Amino acid sequence: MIFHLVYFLTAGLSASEPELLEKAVSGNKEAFGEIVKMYEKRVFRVARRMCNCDDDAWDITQEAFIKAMKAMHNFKVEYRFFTWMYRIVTNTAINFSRSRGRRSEVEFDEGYGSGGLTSTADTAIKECNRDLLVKAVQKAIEQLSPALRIVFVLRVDQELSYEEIAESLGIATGTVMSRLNRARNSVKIFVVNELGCAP
Amino acid sequence: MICPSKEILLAWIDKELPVSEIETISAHVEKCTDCENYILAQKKMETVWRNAWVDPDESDFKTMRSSIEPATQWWRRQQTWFLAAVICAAYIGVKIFYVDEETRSLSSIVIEQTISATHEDLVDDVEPVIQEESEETVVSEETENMDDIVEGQISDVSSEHSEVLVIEDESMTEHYSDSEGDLPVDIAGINSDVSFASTESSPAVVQVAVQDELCFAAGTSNLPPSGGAVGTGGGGSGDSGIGGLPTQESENDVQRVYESPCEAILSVTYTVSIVQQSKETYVIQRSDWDSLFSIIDSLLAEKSYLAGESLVLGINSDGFISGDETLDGVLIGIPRTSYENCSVIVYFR
Repeated sequence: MIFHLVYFLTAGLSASEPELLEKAVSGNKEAFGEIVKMYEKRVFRVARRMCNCDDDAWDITQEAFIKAMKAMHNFKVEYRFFTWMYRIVTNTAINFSRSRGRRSEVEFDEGYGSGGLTSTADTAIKECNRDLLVKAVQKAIEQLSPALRIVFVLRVDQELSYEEIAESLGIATGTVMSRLNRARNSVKIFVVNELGCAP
Repeated sequence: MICPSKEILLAWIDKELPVSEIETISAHVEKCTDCENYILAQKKMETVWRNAWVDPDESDFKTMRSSIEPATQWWRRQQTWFLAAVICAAYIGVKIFYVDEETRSLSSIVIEQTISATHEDLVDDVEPVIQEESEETVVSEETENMDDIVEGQISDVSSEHSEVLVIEDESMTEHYSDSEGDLPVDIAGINSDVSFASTESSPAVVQVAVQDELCFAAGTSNLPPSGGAVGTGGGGSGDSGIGGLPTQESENDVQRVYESPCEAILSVTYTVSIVQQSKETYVIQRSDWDSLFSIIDSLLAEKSYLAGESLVLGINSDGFISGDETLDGVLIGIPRTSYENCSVIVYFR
C-alpha cells in the first residue's frame, strides 16, 4: 500500500519525457499534466510572440493544450513532441489571428532593401538603444504575415533548427530558409525605417 | 572575394551551412567589414528581442493549467454524468416498478387464502353492509330478519368454517323476489362456495358454504350497493346490454357486494354484482370465484378504473363466463355449466 502510494507520488517526478509521453498517449491525464508543465512556457511564449497580446496568448496556449490532449492518442512517440506541439500552437495562433481579423501586414518585396541597406543601417542598429530596438523589432514582427512571423519566431526566439521548423510547420527546409530570409529582411527594413536611419 | 548572399550569411549565423561552407564564410566574415557589421547588427537585433522576453508569473501558468484541467477531465465528467444518468434511470425504473406494483396491489383483488376469518372480523365486515342496506330498505322488519339471518350465518360460519348454511325465510322471499318471484337473495363472499336456490314456490334458499381461510363480506339484498353506482345505462328492468347482459340495475338483479377485508387491497373498493336472469339455481364454486377474481385482477392490472365506472363480465348460457365481448371488450371464459344468463358487474367506488 505504502509502496503504491510512494510510486504514485513519485511517478510523475521520476518519469522521463518519453515515459510521460507513452503514458499520455495511453490516456494518462496525470502524465499529460506533467507534459503541460514541461512545455507551457515555450508554448505560451510562441503564442505571445505570435499575437503580442497576453490575454490572447493565454487563450491560444490553453486551446493548444486542449487540442493536444484530445489528439494525444494520435501522437506517435517516435516523433518529437515539441515539433508536434509547435505545430498545434502555431495553427491555433494563426487561426486565432485570422478570427480576430488580419492586421496590417506588410509583405516586403524580397528584393526591396536587400541591396539598399547599407553598413550605415547596420551601424545604427548596433549603436541603437536596446529598448528602442526591442520595440522596433517587435513592431516589425507584428507587421509580418503569420507564415513569415512563425518562421521568424521559431528560429529567432525558439532557436529551432531549419529542420525542426520544417517539421513543425510541415514545410520543406528550403521553404523555411526562404521564408526566414524574407522575414529577417522585412524586419530589418522595418526596424531601420523605424529607427530613422534608413539610407 | 565576393560577399556571400544575405541568405548564406544568415544561414551561417544559424549554423545551418554545411561544414565545408562554414569555414569559407567564417574566413570571409573575418576580413569583410560590411558582412561583419551585417552579422553583428542582425545578431544584436535578434538577441535583444529574444532576451527581452520575460516569463509570466508562475501563478498565471497555474491558472492556465487549472483551466485546462477541467478539459482534461472531460471524459471523466462524461463518465460521471453517464454513471449519474444510469443511477437516475435505475432509480426511476425502480420507482416506476414500485409504484406500478403498489398500484397493482391497490387496484387488484387479492384473494388471501391464508387469512383466517375470526368471528369478530366476520361480524365487523358484515354488519355495516347490512346496516347500510337496511337504511335504504323500505321494509325494515325484513331487513332485521335478514340481519338476524346473516348474523346467524356468520355465527355459524365462524364456528365451523366449512359448514353449509341453509337459510330459509319466507319474508325474504316475499321481499326480495320480484313480481315473477324469481329472484332470491344475494350473498357476498369471497373464497366461499355460494349457492343460490330460487324457485317460484319455495322460499328463497341461500346456501353459503364457507370454507377455510375465508375472506368474507356479505350483503343481502337486491338493492344497489351502498355508495356504489349501480348500472351503466341501457335498458330498464331486465334489459340486456351487450351479449344479452343487463346493463342497468333492476329489482330482478341480485347483486353481490364485496368490500375487501384484506389489508392488501383495502384501498380498492368495488362491488361485484351477480345478475341472474333465470330461476335456476346457480352454484358458484370457490374455484370459480378465484378464477373470476383473477380475471378482474388482470383487468385491473391492464386498466385503471375510476370511481363510478363499472365493468361488466358476461356469463353466457353455455356456462362460460362470457365468451362474448363484454362491455369492456374483455373475453373471459370460465366453464361453468351451472351458469346461465348470468353476468357479473363490477362497480368501482
